[in-house]
Amino acid sequence: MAKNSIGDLAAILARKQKIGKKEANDMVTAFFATITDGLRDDRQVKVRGLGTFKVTTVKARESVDVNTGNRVVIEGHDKVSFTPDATMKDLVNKPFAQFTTVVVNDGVNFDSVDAASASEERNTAAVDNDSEADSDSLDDVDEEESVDERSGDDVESEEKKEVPVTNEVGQSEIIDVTAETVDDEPSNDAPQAADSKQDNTAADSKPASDNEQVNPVGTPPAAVVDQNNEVVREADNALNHSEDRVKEDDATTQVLDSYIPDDTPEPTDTLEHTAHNNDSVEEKSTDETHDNSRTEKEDDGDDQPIVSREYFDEQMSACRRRCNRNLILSVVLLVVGLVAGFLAGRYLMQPQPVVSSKPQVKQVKKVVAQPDTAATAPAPKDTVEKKDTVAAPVAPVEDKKKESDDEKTSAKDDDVSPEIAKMNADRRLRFGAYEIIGVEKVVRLKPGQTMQSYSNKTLGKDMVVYFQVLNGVDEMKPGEPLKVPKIRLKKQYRK
Amino acid sequence: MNNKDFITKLSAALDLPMTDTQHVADTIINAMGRQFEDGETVQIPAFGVFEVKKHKERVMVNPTTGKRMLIPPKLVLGFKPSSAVRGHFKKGGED
Repeated sequence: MAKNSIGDLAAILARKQKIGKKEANDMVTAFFATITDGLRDDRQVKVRGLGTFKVTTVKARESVDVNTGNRVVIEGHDKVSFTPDATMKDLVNKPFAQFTTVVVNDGVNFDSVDAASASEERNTAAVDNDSEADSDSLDDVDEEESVDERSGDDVESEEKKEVPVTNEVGQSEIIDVTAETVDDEPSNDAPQAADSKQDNTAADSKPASDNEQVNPVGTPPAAVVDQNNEVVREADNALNHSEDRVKEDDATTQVLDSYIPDDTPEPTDTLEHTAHNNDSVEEKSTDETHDNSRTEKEDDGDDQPIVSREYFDEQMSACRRRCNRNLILSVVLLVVGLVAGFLAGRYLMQPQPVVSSKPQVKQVKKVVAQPDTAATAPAPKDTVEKKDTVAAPVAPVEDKKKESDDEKTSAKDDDVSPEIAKMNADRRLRFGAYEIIGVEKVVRLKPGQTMQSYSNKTLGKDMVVYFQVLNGVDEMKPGEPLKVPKIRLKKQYRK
Repeated sequence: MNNKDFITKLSAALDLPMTDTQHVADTIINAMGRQFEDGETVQIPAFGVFEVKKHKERVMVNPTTGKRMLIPPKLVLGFKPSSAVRGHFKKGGED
């Protein structure tokens, strides 16, 4: 590997031509200098035994910077090409000269070589599905709770006299079972487990009613037992129905979810997480039902039946009022949040559109979460049963609202505000791989810092157009506030 | 500019008769060829680099017959002009 091959060539030339080394060196230099000159003059030089040098003109053409989507003009230039002479070609290819082109038979297959890939993509897809299922199950919890409240309500209206305990038991049981189904859903073996659990709980509830019968309540005991059993059975039936309904609803919600582009920036909580949550919910519900039955017993034991009934009624109405107020408050909150979100999202798009719409989404979510807890938490805690009647009709409405809310938020996440969309339609960004989805933050340029240098430091070189488009100016001086765009890959580049 | 023109010009530059010039040129080219045979690159300052590259075997489809052909591997001589030459043409090249 001679660094300066001209010396080698000169040495050989000097030996062959029997001339001085320096002369030979000059000759070789002149040889190539002549080629260069000839190229300049004629744009083509043919040298026998070596090949043809040619100068070809490359016209200016437009291209697109793959990073930013900027249109880039590649200037026209001249290119020197070289085609080796036939003799030189053969000389160079001597080691492989014995090979000839062969026609490949039809049966030969080369595809197996290309097969190894795409497993990673599948993995990522699985993660996506997980997160989707996650949100599904969350939705389901809400819905099922609403449903079981409804079913409890049905039972209650059928049996007005002896409702308290049985209804309580039935309800807790339903919560239990639903929690169980929620648990099982991800693993797809829900029905059987749920059924067995149901039977167990039904068996459990019978002793509970027996206990109640022992307590001095002023009603015929045997009838009570029968009624209780009946109620339990009815509750079970209702439960079955409700479960069926829930499953149908599940299916629909799942379908819905699959249609909604899943762009919510929800951190991909794994299934484990929800499973934990569900477990905790289950535990809580069982604990609470235990508490309930205990307090119930105590109440029955201590108070005189008639007095307790009056007291009960009073308490009941008070609690009903309280619950009513709670629920109305939460519903109003929800509606207000919704409206505020809408208004802010639609019409109040000012300099920092996404900054305003982002927390707003969060707010809506918080509001959604609030009534959820309000509806579920007090339900098992209060020993009074009739507030269920109040809670039941309202809860489903809430849930529906919640669902629509979720849809809306996800939709909002997907298509950004019109202003941002307009920015993305800018010709500077149209061909870029990224799109702006909002303003990440606003910074003040330090002395000596420009928009370009800030871009180079943060998003990378060639990304300054995103700053330019978002801020509406091409240049910025130090000290001026600079909006930093929040960007993401365009849909077609995502995997 | 064909070989004859080239040799004429070179002879003028070297102040040698045409036949001798052709001889010199052949000698230089042969020397280069020998280096190529050894798989070495030939680097000429202010001109460029001659380099032998291996092209791998590949399957191609004959567009007319639709038959698949296995093209054998081969060694190809490539040339990369030096930046000096490239700059030269970028500036001075007429177009």
